[in-house]
Amino acid sequence: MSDEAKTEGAEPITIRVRDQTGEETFFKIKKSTKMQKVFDTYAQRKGVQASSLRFLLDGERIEPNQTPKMLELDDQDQIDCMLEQTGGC
Amino acid sequence: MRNEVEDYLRGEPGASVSIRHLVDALSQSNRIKNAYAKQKESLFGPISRRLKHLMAIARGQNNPALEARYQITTVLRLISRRPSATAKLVNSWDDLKKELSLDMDFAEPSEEVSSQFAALRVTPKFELVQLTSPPPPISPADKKLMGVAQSVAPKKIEYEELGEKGPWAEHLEQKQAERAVEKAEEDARYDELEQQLEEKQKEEEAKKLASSLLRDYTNEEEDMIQSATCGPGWEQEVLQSEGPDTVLRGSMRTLRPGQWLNDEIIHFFLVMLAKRDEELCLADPDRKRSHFFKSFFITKLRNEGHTDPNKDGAYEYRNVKRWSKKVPGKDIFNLDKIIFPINQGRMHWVCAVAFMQEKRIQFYDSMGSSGKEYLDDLFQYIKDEHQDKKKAPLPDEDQWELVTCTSDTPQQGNGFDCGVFTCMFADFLSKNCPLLFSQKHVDQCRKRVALSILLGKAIL
Repeated sequence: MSDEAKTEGAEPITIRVRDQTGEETFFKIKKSTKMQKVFDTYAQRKGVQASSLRFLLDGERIEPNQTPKMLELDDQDQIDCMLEQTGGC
Repeated sequence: MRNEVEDYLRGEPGASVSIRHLVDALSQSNRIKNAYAKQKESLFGPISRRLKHLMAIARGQNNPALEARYQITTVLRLISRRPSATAKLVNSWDDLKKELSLDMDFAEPSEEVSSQFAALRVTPKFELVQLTSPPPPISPADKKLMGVAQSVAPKKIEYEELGEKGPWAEHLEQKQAERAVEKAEEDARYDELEQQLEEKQKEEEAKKLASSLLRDYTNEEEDMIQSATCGPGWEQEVLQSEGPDTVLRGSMRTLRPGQWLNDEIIHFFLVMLAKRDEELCLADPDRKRSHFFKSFFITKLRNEGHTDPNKDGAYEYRNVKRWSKKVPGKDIFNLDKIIFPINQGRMHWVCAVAFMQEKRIQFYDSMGSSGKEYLDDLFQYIKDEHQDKKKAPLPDEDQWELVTCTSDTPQQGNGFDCGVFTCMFADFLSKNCPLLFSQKHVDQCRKRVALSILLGKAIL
């Protein structure tokens, strides 16, 4: 990896996580940090199991191993957090 | 319709085409196809189809332009089946209208046409044809029927010379009238038989397709399903993944009989259907891709669960504006179908499908609710998406049809199987297969979903 890419990865950006209730939570992370860290911190803060949350970017789920750089997320970009859904009747 | 006919006639050198040609050409126009699609949708007989049509009018969902087309197409079909009529040449809209006016009433027939045809209806046809123009070529079948008329033909001269009706003319008239009745009866029988045959064939094909979708499973497959859904293991263990989508063991367990399905199962199954759809499109270049949104699409579109009570359930396009980026071709208007799984009130699964080429959005609920609010919002989404991405209002907006849950939609017989029904609606519809399954197939369907997920592809 070139030096330039490294510096770009180190630069922190703010990501907004918006949930169904309309509430937004801000995370300041490096572009090279795995999203797993955001997901875990978010779940912990909300007091829910991470496995009951679904994080989406433009309607598709985000893989925990991906980084903002891989997802082409920029500063102030928003991702959605949805609660598990279930149904039977 | 008139314009289409005239355009077609202008495009023809010699400007004279047979009705058969015209019917063929018009059937290929998309708008007529819609009318056909509506007819084909029903596997019932012509009477109940007509009733259905009338009911649609009564419900106020009717669109006069489509209705006119529907009527004309029906009449064209009838005429095209009648061997005596298909060879007739027409070279203008009025000509065609003349032909049609024997079978249907136009809203505003021109005086000229109606007076001519009032005359035609009371006067036996043979007088016009046989006395003024050379007889048309006679087919063997016609010859047999016209045996009597042929044999008395010479006498006709006498009748003309005398200027009054002789006994032969009366005889001829009588025979012709008898023949007309016979022919009409024969035509009706023929139409009926053909229709029955057509329906039977369609039914058989559909059954074949449905049974291929609901096959039995091998012992190995049964074991695989059993161990994944009922076997021991950690809840959070990832059993299957495809790109960013995963299925945990805990979700897989919701496929056990009697359990409510969660979103992970439904979405992963739809990812498998999308994969199958992609393969089918590769094999058939004429097939357009379909897209399967996640149920969160509707949740976001309608702001469901918002803490502000004014916003909760309120449509907001902005929330899903970017979602079509992940659609094949990034253009929802070039898709065949869009499947929307919907989670209702965190307790019920239903499905809506936008048939983009047929301009129809239909709602499928195994509990039979109408789904009107979802249809309205989805239609608004399509309009907003067109405005946003194509920078123009949706064309032919009045041709779109919103179909609430129909009475023949398969229904669940309990309080836990709706997720399975939703998966099957998506499965069958994306393969263009009629919804020939019911509550008794549900265990097999649960296994179908489980196996498709475990194999990483929708089983065929």
